[in-house]
Amino acid sequence: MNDIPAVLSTVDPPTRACCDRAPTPGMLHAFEQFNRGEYFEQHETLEWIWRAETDTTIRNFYKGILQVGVGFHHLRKGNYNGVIKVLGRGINYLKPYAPACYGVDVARLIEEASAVYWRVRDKGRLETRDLEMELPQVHLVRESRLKEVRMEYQTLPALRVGEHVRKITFEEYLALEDQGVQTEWVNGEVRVYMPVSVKHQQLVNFLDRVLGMFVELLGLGIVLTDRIVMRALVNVAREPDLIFLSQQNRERLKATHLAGAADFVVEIVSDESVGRDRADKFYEYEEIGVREYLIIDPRQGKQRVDYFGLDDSGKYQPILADQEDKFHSRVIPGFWFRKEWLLQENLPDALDCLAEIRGLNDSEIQILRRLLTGAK
Amino acid sequence: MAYIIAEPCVDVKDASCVAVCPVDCIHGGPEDNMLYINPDECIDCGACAPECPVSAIFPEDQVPEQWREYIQMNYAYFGKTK
Repeated sequence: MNDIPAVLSTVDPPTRACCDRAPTPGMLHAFEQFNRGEYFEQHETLEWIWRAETDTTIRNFYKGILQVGVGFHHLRKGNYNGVIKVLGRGINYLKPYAPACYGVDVARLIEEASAVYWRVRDKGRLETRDLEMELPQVHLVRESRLKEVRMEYQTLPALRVGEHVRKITFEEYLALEDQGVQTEWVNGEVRVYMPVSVKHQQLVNFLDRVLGMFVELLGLGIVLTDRIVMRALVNVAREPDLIFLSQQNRERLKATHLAGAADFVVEIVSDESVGRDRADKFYEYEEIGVREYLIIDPRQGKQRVDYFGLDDSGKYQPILADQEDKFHSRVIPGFWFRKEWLLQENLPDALDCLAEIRGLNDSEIQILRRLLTGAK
Repeated sequence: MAYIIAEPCVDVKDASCVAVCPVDCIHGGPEDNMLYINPDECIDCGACAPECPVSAIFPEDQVPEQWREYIQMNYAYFGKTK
């Protein structure tokens, strides 16, 4: 088979360490979208993951699959130039990752996608729209779908020093905590993250005061921040920015970590965390049954709040604001918030917000403030 | 439909958009005074628009009136007519 003309200038060579890893839930979700022919959607999911990936040796792997899918999207629309450019580029991106990477049978995808590329090229521009062919799917090398991935890590060896990756057990991970940095434990590997911004800390602190006081006053449960470790899947432990655990689930809280799902989780998005927050954690939290997930993106130009609740089938559905622009929680009875509270440059006064949630009017808030401050 | 880069990009070429485009459809060489989006490659995801420091990128049907000519210029750069 002829080589597809290269359009890439430089590609960082991949390291085998990445390629030995199991796919994350976010990736598996993207592959399922790809295989269902949801090519625009797979591009969105992989785009989040690609943008968040800081390891330059692996970024082109996501881009390769993403662009092969976008090439198929263009093919469906009869866009000959789009197929030739983007599908060809995607295939070339994938080549350094063959035969397999992150559990994906890369060699097979390259071969099958190349067949599509050459067929389109041979038929030419005018026939692109009428081409009917079955499009390739993303296959996993070993049948390492999510369930098997989890099984694999059910019983982690006490300490495995691999060629590239040193895997540790959950207990060892917990013992590593308290070193003053944010870490998470994924597939037995410890990931260390960058310190958070001041804006991030202010948002967590604001929510902690408003929601923390709210649930304490009404005896609904507990709010925790400060890098509480939550065991998400068997092989994954996360440190959400803020969690609420209801009174009836209090037994999940152990001395060192939360064993199971929180009832409500907040993640605040940064450039570095966007893929984890929007893809990996979204599906993990859904899977383990975090009943509500609030994603706040305070970055310039983004300014988004996305709020999800589990439906009856255990899938996240967006929770929308009511006519007064209030977002009502279903797991924290009586609690609601406004999007503007979370996105304004200077965060509002926590006491005012708490009083407003509890239905106090302006003069009552004034009285409360006077009582608390001792002012006349 | 595609996204279109308009006048604010001229002589700026910040290229923040290039780094976030997942399909590599934003082009422009050293001899060009601005960047261009290939309408055949673009998947209309809009990832580039908020990254532009001079707000030069618009969906094709929302290009401000005074910069409508840039639609044709973007197409022409890739040898196409609108």
